[in-house]
Amino acid sequence: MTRLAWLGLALLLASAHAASAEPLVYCGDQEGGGPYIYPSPDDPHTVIGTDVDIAAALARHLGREARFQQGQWDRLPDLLGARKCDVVINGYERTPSRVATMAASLPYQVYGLAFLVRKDRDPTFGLETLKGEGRFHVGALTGSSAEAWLRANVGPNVVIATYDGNTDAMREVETKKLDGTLQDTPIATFYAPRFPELEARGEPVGHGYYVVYARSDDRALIEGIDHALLEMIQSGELRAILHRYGVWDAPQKELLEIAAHAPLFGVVTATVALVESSSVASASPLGARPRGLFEVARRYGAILIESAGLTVLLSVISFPIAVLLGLMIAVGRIWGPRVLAVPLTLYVEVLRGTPLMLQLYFVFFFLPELGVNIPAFGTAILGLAVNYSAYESEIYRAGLQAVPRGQMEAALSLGLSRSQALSRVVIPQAFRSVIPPVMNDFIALFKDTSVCSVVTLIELTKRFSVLSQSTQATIELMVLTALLYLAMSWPASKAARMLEHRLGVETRG
Amino acid sequence: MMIEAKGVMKRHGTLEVLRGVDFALAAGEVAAIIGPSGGGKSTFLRTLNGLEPFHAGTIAIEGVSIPHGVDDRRDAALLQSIRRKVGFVFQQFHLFPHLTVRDNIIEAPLRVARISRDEAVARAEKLLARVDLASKIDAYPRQLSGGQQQRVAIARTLAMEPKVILFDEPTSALDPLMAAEVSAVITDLAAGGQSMVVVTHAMALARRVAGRISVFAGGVCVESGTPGRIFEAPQEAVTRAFVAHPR
Repeated sequence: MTRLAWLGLALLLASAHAASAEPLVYCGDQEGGGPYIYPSPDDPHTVIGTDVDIAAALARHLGREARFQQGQWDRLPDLLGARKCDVVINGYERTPSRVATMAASLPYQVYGLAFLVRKDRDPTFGLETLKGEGRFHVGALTGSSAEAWLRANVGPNVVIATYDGNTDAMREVETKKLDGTLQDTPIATFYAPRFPELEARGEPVGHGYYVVYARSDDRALIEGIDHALLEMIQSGELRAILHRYGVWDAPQKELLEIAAHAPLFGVVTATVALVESSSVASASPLGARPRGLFEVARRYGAILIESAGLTVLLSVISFPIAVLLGLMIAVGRIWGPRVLAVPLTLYVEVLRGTPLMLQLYFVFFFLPELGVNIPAFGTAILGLAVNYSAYESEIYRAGLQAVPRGQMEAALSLGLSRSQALSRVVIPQAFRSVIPPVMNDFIALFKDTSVCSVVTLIELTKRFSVLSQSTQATIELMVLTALLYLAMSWPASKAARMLEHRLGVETRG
Repeated sequence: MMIEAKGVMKRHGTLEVLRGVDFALAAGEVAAIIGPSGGGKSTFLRTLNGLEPFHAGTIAIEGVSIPHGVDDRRDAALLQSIRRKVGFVFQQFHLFPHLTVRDNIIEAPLRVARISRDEAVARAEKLLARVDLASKIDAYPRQLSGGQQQRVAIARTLAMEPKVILFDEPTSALDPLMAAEVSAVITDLAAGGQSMVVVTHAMALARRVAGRISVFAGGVCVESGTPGRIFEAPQEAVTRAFVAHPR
């Protein structure tokens, strides 16, 4: 027993040691978009952006390699807590509530909040107007400091609409559905060329800092990152990165002041190369907005098809499992031992009565706390299969109960065992009668795979959102995405009708 | 004794369906059970292969007792061995609609008796010829008339080579012409020495096949004897009334 314990401890230490050489996994949401993390216009398989470059530089300073982990922006702290990544680097503001639950680094970027409105809006309209009379609609990024600022500073006459993507709200302002949007200055600056009809009104408000977050028990990592950040500021490396994306502006000078106090943090570097700040932005690496269906298909068709592949893979793996589980549950509920009745009923009711997203969330973010860490793909398969098994079991239960009692009696009278009677006589008859509702569910599951983006998978719908955020080619991408979904679900319904027809002919005999 | 039942009782809630039935069948014997509807005939027949549990009395098949409150789950092995000896033919045939005539017949021989497929198919062909349906081997049940379906059901039961076959109103769901086809098959089986118990309303069939007739009424066997005695010289008032006006 003790020897075993020592062996376990040795293994634990060995693995802890090995971990230090492992890549620095940083999470972010490429749907959030530029300038932080967004798909490269040259190769949508790779992400670029200020946070990507900063993560790479930090990792290099730490002697590690940076690895990107996709996640939903407002769920990034959960990914961190569930140990799916080491740090969050994605335009995450330093806020008291986050600092209370996570370890925060020194600032790596200073931001303000710019109020964007249409240029043709009357010149007196600005943030101050919101505090007065009249009803206004204003947009902000979900869970961002812009949203928090609005909630704290405007009255109930202002309706605050929140969005998951940076540019959603900007588009809504452009199309006049919103009166204005409060955006982090880096976003406003970065996407300005894409929204020529918008302009910032007044001086930025709500000055704050982007920081790197790690788990609160990971102080050592944050100290390493702080050192690296100070070195990057002093050497001009950070400025070069922000400049590359056109977001090195006057307020960033504050970073230099922080760096000047570096010795207070125990960092002394030989050369303190204080680069003079410049408010002149370099040419943005955003790339031109792709125009026309053909152009969008040419550039993004391949990656959309790849994501569609993931959608198909998720469906065709999880659905057979759901059907099999559902069948077992239905048989268990009708013919199983009585002790199973209550648990099985509970299983069906709980799974049918709660959203799939919540179930996926539970498996992905909560189970790791109990030591069960299932990768994203496995979680998605498990979640879809288990959730749909509840629906399938109800369909099968109806189908099985519709098979006349005499069929079971005849089979038993011939000497067949109960399980033989079920598998050879009752289930095959039930199966034929449930093909239409089961196929219906298959198509529903097929589309429900889009929920799997909460567990970091980028299937077709999420890919559409990501690309549409960074390219603004929303209409073209929507058409392509819809065509892909149809191309996948249409053959499925066709196959179902054929199967139904073939088996139907047999039963009609 | 092939079948030996003593004092068999069964209740459905407060309704006493069987109130102490005595019945016996020797090997090679053919018995018919007749009597007014609701007299417990079919229920009693179904207790003999464990389709219905009973709560008092004894039933033994070749000396093997069926326990009280017999349960398909709990007594699976016992019931399987009893059902291999005791075949059952239903009023509504209960052929498997998703299987061809051939597959209906070979299913149990393949999976229960575990004979080879070739042997099972050969047996099916022979039995179908015997019930005069050799040409329907590839048909699905719904392509057959009721009489043809019942003859396939009989062939399906025969394929397991049971020692005794229980017929539950085998011709009641059929029109007269089709009933005649089925009666002919049953008569042929009786002549071949197959042990059988036939519950029926068809007096002609009972008279033709049975060596002995039992009259059930009110959940008991009120009278038992040769067809001649039951039809010509019934002892009990119930029997007299019933043979005069069978219903």
